[in-house]
Amino acid sequence: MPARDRLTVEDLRVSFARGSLEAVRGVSLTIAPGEAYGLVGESGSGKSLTCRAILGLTPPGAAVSGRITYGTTSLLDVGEEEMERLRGSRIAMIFQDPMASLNPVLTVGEAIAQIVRSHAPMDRAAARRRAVEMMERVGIREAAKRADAYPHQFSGGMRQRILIAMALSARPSLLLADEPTTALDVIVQAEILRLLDRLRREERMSMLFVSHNLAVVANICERVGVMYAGELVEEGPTREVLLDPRMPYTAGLIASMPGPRASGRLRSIAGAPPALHESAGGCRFAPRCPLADDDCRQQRIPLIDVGTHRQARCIRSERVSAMAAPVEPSARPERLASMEQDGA
Amino acid sequence: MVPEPILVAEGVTKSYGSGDALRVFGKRKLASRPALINASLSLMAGETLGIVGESGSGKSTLARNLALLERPDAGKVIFKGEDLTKLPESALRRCRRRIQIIYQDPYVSLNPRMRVGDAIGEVLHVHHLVPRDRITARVRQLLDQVGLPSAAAGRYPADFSGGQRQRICFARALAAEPDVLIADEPVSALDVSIQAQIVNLLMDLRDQLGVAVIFIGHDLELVDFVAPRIAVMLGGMIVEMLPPQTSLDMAKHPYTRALLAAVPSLQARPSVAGEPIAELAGGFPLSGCPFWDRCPYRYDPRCEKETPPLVDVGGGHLLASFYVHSGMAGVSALHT
Amino acid sequence: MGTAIATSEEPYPLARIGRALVGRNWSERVGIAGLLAFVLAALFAPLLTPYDPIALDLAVGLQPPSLAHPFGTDQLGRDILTRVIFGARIDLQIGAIGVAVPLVIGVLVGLVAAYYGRWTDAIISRIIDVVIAFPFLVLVIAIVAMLGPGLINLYIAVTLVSWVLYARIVRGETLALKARPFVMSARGFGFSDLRIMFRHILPNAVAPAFVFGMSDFVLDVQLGATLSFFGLGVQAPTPEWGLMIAESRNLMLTAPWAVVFPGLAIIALSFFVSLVGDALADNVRGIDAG
Repeated sequence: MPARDRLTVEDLRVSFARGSLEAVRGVSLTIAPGEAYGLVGESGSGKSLTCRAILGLTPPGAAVSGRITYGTTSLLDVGEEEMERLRGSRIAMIFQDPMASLNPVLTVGEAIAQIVRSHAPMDRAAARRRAVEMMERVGIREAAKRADAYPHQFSGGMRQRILIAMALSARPSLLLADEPTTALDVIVQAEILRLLDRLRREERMSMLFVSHNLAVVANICERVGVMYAGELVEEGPTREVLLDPRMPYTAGLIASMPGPRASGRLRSIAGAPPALHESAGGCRFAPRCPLADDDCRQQRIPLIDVGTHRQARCIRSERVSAMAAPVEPSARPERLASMEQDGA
Repeated sequence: MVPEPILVAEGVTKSYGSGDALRVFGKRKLASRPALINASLSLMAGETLGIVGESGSGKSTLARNLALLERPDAGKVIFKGEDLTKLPESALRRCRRRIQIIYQDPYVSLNPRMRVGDAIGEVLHVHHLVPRDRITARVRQLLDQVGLPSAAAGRYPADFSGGQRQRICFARALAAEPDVLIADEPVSALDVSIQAQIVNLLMDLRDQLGVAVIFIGHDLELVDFVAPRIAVMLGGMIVEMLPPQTSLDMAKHPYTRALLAAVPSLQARPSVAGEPIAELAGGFPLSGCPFWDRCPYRYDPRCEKETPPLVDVGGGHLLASFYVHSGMAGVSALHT
Repeated sequence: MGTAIATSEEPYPLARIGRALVGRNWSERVGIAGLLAFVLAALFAPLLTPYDPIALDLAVGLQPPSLAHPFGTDQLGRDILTRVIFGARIDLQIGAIGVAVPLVIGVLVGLVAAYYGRWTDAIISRIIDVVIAFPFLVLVIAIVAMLGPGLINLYIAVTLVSWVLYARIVRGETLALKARPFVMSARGFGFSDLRIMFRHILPNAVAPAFVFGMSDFVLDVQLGATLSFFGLGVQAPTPEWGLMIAESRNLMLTAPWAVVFPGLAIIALSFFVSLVGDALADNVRGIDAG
């Protein structure tokens, strides 16, 4: 059983062009061992960069500051060699586009075996056996035969399963998933989510799941953090955040999704997110917020506790419940119930 | 007197062959399953029809063939009583503007080297829709209708965000004064909060102008929200058609129900349980029902060999499934 | 309503060209300045030098560089600096026409081939394949040998051979653009083929052809010099850099200035044009990214 560590991100900042473009502005979050944390945001919110910063995979030209601790290791201070050892063995990552992450000239069996051998010494035959084992675990039928196939011979969903197999082959204790289902069809997505959920529990891994889709995150994560314009604006247990959002942006997001009882028009959020280089004084959501007033626009809004393990970056959070359309309380009973059984 | 539908597709079939080279030498290899098989539907004036399908379902191919941007290999497309497939290209050009398509990716839907006002004005100019001296005013009016300032006319598409570009695409489509607007995944490439804006815009425009709309998407809930009547496509075929006033829960086709169960939703849907559906391993089966190799109910021997016909199971609800037709189990059996 | 619109630079208006001339970084500025220097020298050649490029004056033959003759004189007493400046007229012309004519022809052919596809494309593509199969220089020399030496024949030969390169580029771009929704929209609006090709596809397809044209310019200048060196291009007494090198090649050891300066002119012009070409390439990439 891999060591169960806690991931702590403190005041993470990622900027480009010598600080003039701030993409992540002081994000802090914690993922307890075995917990699934969903990071939700639209494009430009900084969620992807936050995820990548953990493994040091930010693009060249990015300036990263803050503290990221995993267990006892401070990830931002660690050298490249140590980081390479960490990647895959303690922390693994899966990406949105599996085709780009799979080497087209290697058979998938070879690709997985390579990873297996880089983290634990073993001979080729043993590595291949392990590779086939992993492929079976992620639900690829006739794994032994398919291990000799090349990535392009698989469908999108299969490739993502292979990617998951690769990520899990060295038994990491933390899995970072950056929009792993965004490019997949709906039914395939559901399968992959089910798979991730199952594997996560079996391996007792913690998981950071980044997505722009609140509904996807809602079905697989116990805690959710909502990012907007580079900041974390709301955080808490998924169920509570969805039923009772305390930040107008979250409420707006929830309200703008169609559901079986919606009619007339969707409740949209006017305007668009601010550009990277804009640094308004007050709340970054104020220009679009129906509850905003002068206080909101002038002072820097910190994250305020609004409940046990719940925070919202809003000084008007008590008024949010009046504006949002309520989500039906019996949301996916079988899913959420099972989450609560093993949950953190 | 029963009103005639404004657009009818009858048995439209389209395959993509193996490229021009093979055709040059006279041989045409039927490489794989056609992208569109025997698709038939009808659209009344001012009606909104939704089409739901995943990738490979043929929904975009259908859109292109309905607008005659491609010629179907078989079947007819009848617009206002006239069979468009029989028209030569020159005649087609005149009525093209009446069926407009809005595409998914706003970043490649506009000519990057043409100013917005010129792009919209070009439509007005080519079809002589307004006198020359009124073009600028009309462009401004259209921009206003989609919620953009008149200053937008002088700018290039690069100056706009995704949502704004999509609005420009709407303005341009409306400039042509279409009778039918086909929106092919118009919001899939946009952020969630912007999606709602654009969907609302589409619905407003539809109500204001009375234009018929075909709304294509992969998000079942979104399509259901926009369109009272929904066609579900799979493997180039329409497998189910839900009439107005039918909620999604009443879908009967195993694929539609699998789709419903798979949609991650904030709302509960307690009546639909999730049956694990195997993945599309490599393309659709070459014969028979497009769902047969993944369907949990493929007990009927015909599933593999024959294509189930689209049959009315009551009240305009169309369904193509041997399982359900054979009555081996009632609808209630689909609730596990 | 989210109506904040960014301001961007517009693709093609005159103001942009003006700003482009100033250049964005040093390599761009050097290239533009150098090229401009050559162009101005060529335009104002008679004003820049008191000497006649063709007149003989055997009395001052083979003089090394001096104040009176900064580049020295050749064996016939002609001032080399003057001949280099006048030579710029010829060589710039060779470069310009050697690029312009094939570019126009090639772009049109590539555009039409890709747009109409099927038989048109099949035939044109095969022709392109055949022409490309031959080494450029060999083919040009062969044609010039058939037609006879001289500038006009040089242009004919270069045009016959170079157009395929532009056609291929534009054909590729056009094929890619045809699939883009904005072109499909243009068809959906019932626009005529001509309008779609020239208003929608061409402006978006042509930029790489121009970028290629810059390196082609350099090649053509060198080609002109090479052919003249072999007696197949410009004929004496017209000043042309390649010809000047040919005429003085026996003097490499005794009067190197007669060979070095024309050679430097070729190198310098090529260098400046390359810099401008690189700048153009970077520029073009920027536009298409937006």
